[in-house]
Amino acid sequence: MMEAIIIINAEIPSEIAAMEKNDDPILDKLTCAD
Amino acid sequence: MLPDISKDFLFNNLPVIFHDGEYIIYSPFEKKLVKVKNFNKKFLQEHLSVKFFGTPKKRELKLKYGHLSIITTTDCNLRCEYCFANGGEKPIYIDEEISFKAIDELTRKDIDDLEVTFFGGEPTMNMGIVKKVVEYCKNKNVKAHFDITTNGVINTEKANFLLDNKFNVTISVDGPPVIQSKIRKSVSGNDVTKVIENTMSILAKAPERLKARVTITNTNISYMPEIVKYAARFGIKYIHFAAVNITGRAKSATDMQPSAHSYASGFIESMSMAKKLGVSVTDEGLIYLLQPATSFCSSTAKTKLIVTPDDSISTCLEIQSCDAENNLFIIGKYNRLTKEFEYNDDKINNLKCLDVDKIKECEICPWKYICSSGCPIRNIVKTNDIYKPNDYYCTIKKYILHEVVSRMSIR
Repeated sequence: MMEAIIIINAEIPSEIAAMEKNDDPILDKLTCAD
Repeated sequence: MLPDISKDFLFNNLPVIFHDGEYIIYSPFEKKLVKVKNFNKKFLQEHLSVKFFGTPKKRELKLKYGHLSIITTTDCNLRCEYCFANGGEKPIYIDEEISFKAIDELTRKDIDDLEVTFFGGEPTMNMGIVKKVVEYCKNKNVKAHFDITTNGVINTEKANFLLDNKFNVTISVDGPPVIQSKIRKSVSGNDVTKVIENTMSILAKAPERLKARVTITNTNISYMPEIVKYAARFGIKYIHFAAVNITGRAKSATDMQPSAHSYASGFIESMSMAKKLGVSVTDEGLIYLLQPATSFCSSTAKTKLIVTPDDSISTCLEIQSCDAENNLFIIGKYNRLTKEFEYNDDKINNLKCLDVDKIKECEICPWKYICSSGCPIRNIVKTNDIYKPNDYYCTIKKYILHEVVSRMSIR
């Protein structure tokens, strides 16, 4: 029997900040220290 | 409430979580999620692309940028009870010579842009250097961007200087006045909340360049969603939480660290508050959600330089002196006689060897290439070994990464 696979784009929720999520420069400067 | 992480596992380098009756595989390589009801390993390996599974590599910096961090001083106008740097205890200040030489050193390497970060202590206690560096870059026609991490206890003139010169500002603030006045007091023990609030109001005129850094201890653990609300009130869009690391002054009060479970739970509640208010939160465990790698940080890259007031070259903002306990992160020195930076290649090579694939404890962790064994400083503080992960932060990351991937899957 064929397995059902659902593939979706992994969009980071708006409530989360992560590097390279968008072009906001301050996000590219996230480090553990600051 | 914390999610059930007991059925999460690693599959072909990728994290798999079990959520709401489905297995969700997250590929940070292809930025995709796969959802299946039944987990058939062979079938998935055959039907998903090579790109989906990806190949984790060492973390590298973008080469077009030079990264210079200047620790302007170890002095501080606050005496926060957990300060990792023991700020203010042995105040020394950096000077023009090493600061300018560091700019020269990086700009001779075919670098287009220079990113200059000012850190401390409280970096604005050596504001003269901050201003001179900005001017030096302008006079030298260096395309520079400036960042600063400040406690916000600065006057209006200094705050306006940061605003006018388009600094990206990280302001350390631990919560509303009731919290701030307990944890982050001035040298004389005074409450400085009003000054910080004035600074935030000025800097929030450019909200896209303002971020809050919040350290969580047992004093403010129950206020995490409230802290999001408080920061948002001042127009702050990004709030970076971190559970206190037991180092520096925090070592004298080890009971200040909240349990990993309560921190993770507080963070998840904060996510919901952030969503409601249209702002974003983060934690060290989430920074590299889109950047899988085998190593945690890129601090040994040749285009990065951190200079300290005692003329050391460090690989981490948290290690600020050659006398520091963990001086394996001090990789060189500025020589005042030859006016050159001298690097210790053995130390650099030792740090470059850090690789999550060599760490036994991370072998089957679902998040191994997103966490990459975590910050080596956090690890050594707890385990006395850069190759042994700090299980406290491991627990936190496992819960919050599961939560974020489950939220991604319902969009």
